[in-house]
Amino acid sequence: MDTLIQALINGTALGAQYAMLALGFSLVFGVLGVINLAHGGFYMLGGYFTYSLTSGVGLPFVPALILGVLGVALVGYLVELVLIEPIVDDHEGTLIVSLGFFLVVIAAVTVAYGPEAVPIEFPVSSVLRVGDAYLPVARLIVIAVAALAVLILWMVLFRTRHGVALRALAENREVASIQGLRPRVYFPVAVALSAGLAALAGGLVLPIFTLEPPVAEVALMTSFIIVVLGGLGSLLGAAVAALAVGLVEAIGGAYLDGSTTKLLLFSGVLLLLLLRPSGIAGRSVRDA
Amino acid sequence: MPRLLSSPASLAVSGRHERQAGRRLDRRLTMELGVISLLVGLLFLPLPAENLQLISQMNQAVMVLGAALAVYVMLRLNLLHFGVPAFMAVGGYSSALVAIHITDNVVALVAVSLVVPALVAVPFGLITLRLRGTYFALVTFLIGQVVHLAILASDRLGRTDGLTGVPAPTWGDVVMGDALTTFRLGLVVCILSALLVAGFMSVNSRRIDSLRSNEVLAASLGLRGWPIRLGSFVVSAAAAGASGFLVVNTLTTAHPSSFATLSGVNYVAYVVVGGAASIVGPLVGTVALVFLVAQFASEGVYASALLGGLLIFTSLFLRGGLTSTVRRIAEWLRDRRTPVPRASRQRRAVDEGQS
Repeated sequence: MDTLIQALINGTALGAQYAMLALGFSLVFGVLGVINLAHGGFYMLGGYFTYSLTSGVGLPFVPALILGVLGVALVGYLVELVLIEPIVDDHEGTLIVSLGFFLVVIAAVTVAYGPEAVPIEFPVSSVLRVGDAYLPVARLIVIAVAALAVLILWMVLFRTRHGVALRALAENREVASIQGLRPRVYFPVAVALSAGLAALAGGLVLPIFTLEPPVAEVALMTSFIIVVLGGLGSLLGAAVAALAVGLVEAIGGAYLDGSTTKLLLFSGVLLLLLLRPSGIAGRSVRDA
Repeated sequence: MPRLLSSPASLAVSGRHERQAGRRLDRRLTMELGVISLLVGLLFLPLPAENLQLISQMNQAVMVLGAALAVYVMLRLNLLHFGVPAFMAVGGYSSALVAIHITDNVVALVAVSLVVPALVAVPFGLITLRLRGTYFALVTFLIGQVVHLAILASDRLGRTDGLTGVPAPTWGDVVMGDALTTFRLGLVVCILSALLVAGFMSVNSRRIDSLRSNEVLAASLGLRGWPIRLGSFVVSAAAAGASGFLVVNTLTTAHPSSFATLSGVNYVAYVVVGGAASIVGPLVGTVALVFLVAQFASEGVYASALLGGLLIFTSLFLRGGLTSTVRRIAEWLRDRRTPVPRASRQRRAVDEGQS
């Protein structure tokens, strides 16, 4: 029973982290119609920016994390403006360009920091004891921050004028453009928001686990499985799927080995596609 | 509608389109025959056996050409296939298992590496071929991951250690173990893959072009898309499987790291950089990138950056890849020498857009 409680808490923390990752990925697809493979790179950059600002500049963890998130958001903004915008309507082209950027970022980080994991620690390492279960406070913080980030994203998208504009562009770009909304202004903002969310996940979570270049690939694969499961472009679907994947990984990991759990998860999602090709949310914001 | 279809003007337009489509097919067929002839010619080219570096690089190109062809087959249908390493793994591991436990006869090994991935592709195809565009691309990544995880979870396949000590293939009493023979065997397998791909493309070329240009219209005219898509997926898997066999044969080991999910990016890069208008694109892209990357052999990280940079550059500035760019430049030079009427230029532009 205690193992299960422990797994539930770990799974929720994983799910919260995955939600931050997948919401950004889904947001960019929903608004731009672009599969942004650079997303895993933004996640990794969030971790490395935070690391540089804490160990290189000497900032405390929280300001370093905030600056890291802003820095990666700026990178995302520029990536959209320079690399994606010129071919934004070419779905395969943008996918390839973002993939190219992903490879370049991994190479750059490997050259700058080396292929091995860098030493970075989360500032809180205490553990709460509830009954016979031990709950790491760091994971509870991840859950709280992720919930706050998702809430802020929801408020931005649904309670602000700019959020309405983003959703309008996602719904029908032509009509939204005729109404005076400029995609060239809003698209980079959407990618910056998405990159910022990924960086927040990376900056917050990687110090708890391991910060090394291969995490980018793992994050990318995780984003894939979540958005495929949740329905590409559906924010609600992505959030639900992220939580589900996190819980399955943690609970499965408590009783099976990691590879088998992942194999079951990935196979399950592929089989689900037979029944619901558009994921559990049923209808995506935009057809792929 | 009937008046439009039977009008002389529409008949003339439809006749012209048919002629253009015919020319495009002829050109593609010529390219395919040219590539196969080139590969056959390489078989008989005397190579310096002592220059192991050259032979190794040529072998690397030959080893992954099948994988690039696998991507090319699907890209003809506008489907980006990142799951090629999965089928390479199926081909590589199945041939390794046969070589270790049953026979090391080269014909049997090549046949297994072609047939088993093709069979495995059928259920995967049924799942994925309902998907389109970028969604398909995402799901093919997942296929790669599923197969990779299945290898890691299987004791029979050696988990993270893989299968070591795979015996070299034999032909009668001849053991095909040295570098030059390995390269020539790779060439023969590549020729088989190219023939398979070219044969499938030639038979289904018009159907593939129709599906590619307008699937809804093609369906409304009675063309059933799924057999073509499934056939393409199966042919693609067979070509990838043969490539997997070559990887295992060269390394004498079937190891999961040889078929990592993200390595599918390399094969897509070969086709994107080379171009997907004809079979020449994958060949040019594979040879160019393998030789370029080999220059950074000691620093793999720079090779990755180079690959990424080339993908960005090609997508932004060389639309259609190297082969299409060379063709456009050649046509531009020809037009400068002999001015072409504007209407003719417009027709050619439409023609290029379709190919």
